[in-house]
Amino acid sequence: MIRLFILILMSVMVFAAEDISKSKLEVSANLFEVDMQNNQFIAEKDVKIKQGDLLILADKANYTDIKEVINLHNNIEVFYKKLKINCQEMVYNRKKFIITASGKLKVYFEDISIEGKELQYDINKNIGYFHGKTVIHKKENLINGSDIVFDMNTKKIYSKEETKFTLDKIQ
Amino acid sequence: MKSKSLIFLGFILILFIIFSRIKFTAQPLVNIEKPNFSLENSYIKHFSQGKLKFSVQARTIDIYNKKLILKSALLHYINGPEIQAEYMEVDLKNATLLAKNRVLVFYDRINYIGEEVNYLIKEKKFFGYNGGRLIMEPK
Repeated sequence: MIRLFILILMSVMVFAAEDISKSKLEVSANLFEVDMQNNQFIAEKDVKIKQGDLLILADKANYTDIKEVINLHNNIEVFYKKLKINCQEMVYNRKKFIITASGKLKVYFEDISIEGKELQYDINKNIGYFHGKTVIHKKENLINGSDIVFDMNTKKIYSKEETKFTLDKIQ
Repeated sequence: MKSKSLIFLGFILILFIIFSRIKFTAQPLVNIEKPNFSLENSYIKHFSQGKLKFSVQARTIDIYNKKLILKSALLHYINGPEIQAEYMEVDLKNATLLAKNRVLVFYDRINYIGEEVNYLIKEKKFFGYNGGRLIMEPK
């Protein structure tokens, strides 16, 4: 009986987690300029983009249907499950569900915080690819490296063979 | 003494001329335009202006020389969007549409919900003001 209850509970939980590919994309803002002929739009002031569990806040956003990407500018905050991204420039590919963030990039995941040049985050795989010099903070430890891959499913951080990690303790 | 009184008389004369030119009328400053036709209750009406063709379903349709004022209306452009709002002004001369209060725009699997929309009919482009939401269906 308990097993059956757990099974039902698990199935309910699975259904409760929104599949991003099947979710509607909702953009809210104070000002809009929508070009229906070319399927493009510009949204300004308090831009909020929501799709499933993904929430993006920004000052400005523009979308082109050909590339199916939303370009976001200034004071960007991304929330996705346990992940939080702060940056200045961002591209959200709504077809491939990939986020490319850059400019004053800071990523927070549980007790880990990462500073880097550019992040490519695959939402479906839940993996972040950090390009360029990257600094990872975890509790009192500090890891320096470049071209780092962060698997958020297994919480594993790995890199190419030629990349060296240096482990320092924060004073 | 004489010169002073002459100046005073001249001043009075100038004031008289100025005031005599001002005309006080009881007419209002803005002429309130009355509609040529006023259609009430739920109507479906088809309009065409050159290549632009649209149908209107509204509680009231006020038809002026170069504009339409619609209340509680649903407007459908042929090969274009469907716009719903509490108040709409269709400028037939400049091919623009101003929609206010609970505005809904539907086009190509995309919905826009807002408070104020200015739609440029020929350009197929609209501007949303005072906050709005654009909902895109998953591909």
